[in-house]
Amino acid sequence: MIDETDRRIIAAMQEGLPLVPAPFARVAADLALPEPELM
Amino acid sequence: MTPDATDRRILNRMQEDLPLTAHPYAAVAAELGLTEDDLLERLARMKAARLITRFGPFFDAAAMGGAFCLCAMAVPEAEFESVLTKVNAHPEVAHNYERTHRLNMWFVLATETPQGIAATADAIETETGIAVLRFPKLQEFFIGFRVAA
Repeated sequence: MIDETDRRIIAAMQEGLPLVPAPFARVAADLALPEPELM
Repeated sequence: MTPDATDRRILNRMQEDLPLTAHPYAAVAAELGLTEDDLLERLARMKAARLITRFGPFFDAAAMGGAFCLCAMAVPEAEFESVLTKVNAHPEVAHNYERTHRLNMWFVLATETPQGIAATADAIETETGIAVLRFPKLQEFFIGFRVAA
């Protein structure tokens, strides 16, 4: 159903979305994932 | 802080979906006729003032194969704080409210597996010596809850 990467994304977003201009890029960078893959 | 008319428009708009685009705040700011900087600055201010407690995606534990369960306990008043600490130490406790009723502590368990509900509730019973009454969900209704700011 959800894989290991999905779990990491969920864990990283539990606190909420960063209030910065490119929030998904910030989360992706924290997870060492390409932004398009996170999106 | 008291939100002004612009803050209220932001709060109303932000309860809808945020676009899954590289610059979602810029898109919402444009819709509202604001600059991206102004929107981000107002959101940060409302978050700091706790008008917004959390800003981000909601996750559906059940859709991921997990489970939710409403639980209640009848906690003696003198023990309330110590029981509260023990209950809240479990990361599965999603939120916890004191209520004026014989069952005076109500919380939701959200667990990764359906079996996790019983395991967590049983652990709380063992730790506190108080029964954890369980009210499993029969059906979920998506009511599109919004608060008009």
